[in-house]
Amino acid sequence: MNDLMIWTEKYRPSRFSEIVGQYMIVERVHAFVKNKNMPNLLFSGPAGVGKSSLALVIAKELYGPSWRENFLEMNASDSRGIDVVRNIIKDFARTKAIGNVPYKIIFLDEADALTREAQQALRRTMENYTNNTRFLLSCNYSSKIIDPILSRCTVFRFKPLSKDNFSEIIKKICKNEKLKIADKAIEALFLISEGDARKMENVLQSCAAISQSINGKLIYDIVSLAEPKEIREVLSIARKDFLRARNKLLDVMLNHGLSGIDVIKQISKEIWNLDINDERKIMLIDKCGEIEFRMVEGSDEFIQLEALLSNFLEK
Amino acid sequence: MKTWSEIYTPKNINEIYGQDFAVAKLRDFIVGYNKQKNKAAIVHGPPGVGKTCSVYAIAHELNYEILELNASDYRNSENIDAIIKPAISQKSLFYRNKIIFIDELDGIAGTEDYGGVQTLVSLIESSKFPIIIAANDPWNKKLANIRKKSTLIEFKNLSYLNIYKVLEKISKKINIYCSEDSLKQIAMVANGDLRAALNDFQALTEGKKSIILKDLEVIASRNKKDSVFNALRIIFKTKNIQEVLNTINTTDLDLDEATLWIDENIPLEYSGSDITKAYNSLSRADVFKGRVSRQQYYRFLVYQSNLMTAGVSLAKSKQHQNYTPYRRTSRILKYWIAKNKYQKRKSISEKLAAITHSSSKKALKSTFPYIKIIFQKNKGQEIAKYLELNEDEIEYLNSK
Repeated sequence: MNDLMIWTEKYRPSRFSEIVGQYMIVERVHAFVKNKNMPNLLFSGPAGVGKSSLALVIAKELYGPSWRENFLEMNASDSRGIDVVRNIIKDFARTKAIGNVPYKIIFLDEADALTREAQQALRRTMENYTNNTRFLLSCNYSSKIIDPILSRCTVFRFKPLSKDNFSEIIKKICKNEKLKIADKAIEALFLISEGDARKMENVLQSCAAISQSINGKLIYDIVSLAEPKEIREVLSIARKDFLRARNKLLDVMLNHGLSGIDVIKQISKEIWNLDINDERKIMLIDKCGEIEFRMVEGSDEFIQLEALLSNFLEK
Repeated sequence: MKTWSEIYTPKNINEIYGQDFAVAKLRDFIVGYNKQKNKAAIVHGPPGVGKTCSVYAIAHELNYEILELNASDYRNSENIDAIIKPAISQKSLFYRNKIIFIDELDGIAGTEDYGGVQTLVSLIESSKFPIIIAANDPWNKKLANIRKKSTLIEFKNLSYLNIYKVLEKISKKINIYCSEDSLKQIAMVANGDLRAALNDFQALTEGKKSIILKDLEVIASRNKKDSVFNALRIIFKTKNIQEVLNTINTTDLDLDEATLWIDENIPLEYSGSDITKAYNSLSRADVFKGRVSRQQYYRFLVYQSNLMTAGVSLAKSKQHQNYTPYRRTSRILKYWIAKNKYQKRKSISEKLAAITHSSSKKALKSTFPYIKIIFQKNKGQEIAKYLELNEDEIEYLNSK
C-alpha cells in the first residue's frame, strides 16, 4: 500500500538537495551534518516554509535508516505540560545514540507554544543533556522564546517562499501527478497560500480530487469551501444587532473549531474590506490588538471577542 | 444557633464513617509517637470529610488534651513561636498527654506568612508531643518543607452512601420523615462533603415535618437563582455604586457564575454604546481573572469583582426601568455539546497530526478541511486506510 497518501508528506524533501528555498540556511546546516558537529538550533519563521522539513532532512542525512531511533519529535502545543516534555526527554536522552554520531536529536516543534515557566524548565533540561543530545527548536516568532534559550541556540530565520520557489514545487507535483495546470492557477495558488507550502499542497491535493486540469476558479472554489467565511457575515450583523451577531459568532466558532485567536486574525483581515471610513477601520484595528493582548492575559476568550464585537455597533 | 455539623460531629471513633483506614493510621501515629521518625503528621483531603473531627475523636478516646491552632488566626512567626513553643517543651511530672493540632494550614501558607511556616518546621523537630496538621492540599508548594518532615495521612472523599447513612441516622433522631430518595439526593449533591450535606439538610428541614424529593429541588435551585437575579437587577438597573458593591459583598456571589450571567444578559438590558462600555469592563475583569489563576495572586479578585459589577453598572447612559427576563447562559452547554459532537473531528485531526509532523490544532486548521473535501468527492478510501480511520470517522468525513 502506498503510505504517502497525504501530499504534504509525499512531497516532503528527504535530502538536502531536494529542499526548495532557504538556500543559505540549508548550506550552513548541510555543513554541520557533513562534519557531524551540530550546535543546538532554533528555526524561526512563518508556517509552511520548511522548518520541520529541514529538521527531518537533518535526521535522515545524519543517521541514515536508523534516524527514527535517534530523533525524537515532539510538538509543544500538544504535549500537555512541561513535566510530560521533561519525562519524555529524560527517557530518550538516557540511552546513547545508535551509530557513529555521538548525539541524539530532540526536535521540539512549535516551541513558542510553551509558557515562559515551561521554557525556564526546558532550559535546565537542555543543560543537563549537553553531552549526548542536541536540541532543535522551531517556532513562528523567536521573540516568544526566552533569552537564555536563544543564547544556547544558533538561530536561523526562515523567509516566506518566493513565487519562483512555489512554481518549482507546483510544477514538480503536477508532473508527477499528471495534472494540467495553467500559469494563472499557479499565481492563484501562490496568492491564496501566502508563501505557505503546506497550505498550497493541501489545496492542490483537494483540487486534484475534483479535476485533472486545474484552473484559478477551481482553486478559489476549494479554498472558499475549506475556509469559513461566516466571520464576515458576523461582522456585518454586528453593525446593527449585537445580540444576533454574538450568537452567530459562537455557532461559527463551534462549527469550525476556531480558537479566539483564529477569530481575531480573521476579523483583523476583514476590517479592511468593510464599507466604513478609514478612521474607523484604524480604530477597530487598534481594538483588535488590544483585545488580542487581553485574551492572552485573560481567561474567557469569548468574553474578549464580545468586547471586540461590541465596537462594530453603529450608533 | 448551632449548626448540625457541630451538633452531630462524632465524639467517638466508631461514629466516623468511611475513613477507617485513615483513622487507624492517625491513631497509630499518635499512640506510637515516641518511635516515629517523622515528628508531625499531615491529615489531608477535601473539606468536610472528617479530618478535624477524627483528630478530636481520637484524642477523646485516648484521653489526650488538644491544643488547637486555627492557623488563620496566628499567622506570623512570632505568634506561632509564642504559642506552640511552650506547649511542646513542657513535660512536667503531672503532665497530661496532648496533641498539638494545627488546622487549615493552607490558610497560613500565603507569601506574607512565610516566616510562620519556617518557624513551624523548626518547632516540629524538637516537639515532645504529636503535631497534627490539617490541610486540603498537602502538595501546595509552600508546604514543601513541612511535608518532608511529616507523615501523610489521606482522607478520601466520602461516598454518597456513607453520607446517606449519617443523614438517615439524624432524620430518625430529629423525628422528621424523609423519603429515601430525598436523602440520597442530598447526599449526591454534597459530592463527598459531609459538612455541606448536613448544612443543606438542616436548611431543608427547618420548620418542616417531612421531606420528599420534590421539596428539595424547588428550594435548592430557587435559592441560588434568587441571589443571582437580585444581583443582576441591581447591577443593571441602578447607578448607585455603593448599593452595587454592598449587594455583591453580602450575597456571596460566585464570581465565575455571575460573570456568565452578566455576559449573557448585557445585550438584553443595554443598547448602543452602553453595550460597548459594559463589555469593555467585563473584558478588563476577565483579564484580572486570568492573572489570578496564572499568578495565584488573589488580591486581583477585588479588581475582577469591582470591574464586572460596578464597571458594568456604570456603563449605562440612562437607567432602564422596563422589566427584563434574565436568561441563563447556554454557552457552557453549547461547548459541551460541541465537544461531543466534534469528538470525531478531533480524533481525525490527531491522526493527521501524527503523520504530518504538526500539532493537532494545526492539522485541524490547515489539513483537515482539505481532507474533508477529498472525502466529499468520494476519493477518500485510500486516505482512510492510510490513516487507519474507523467507520465513525469515515462516516463523519463523508457526511454533508
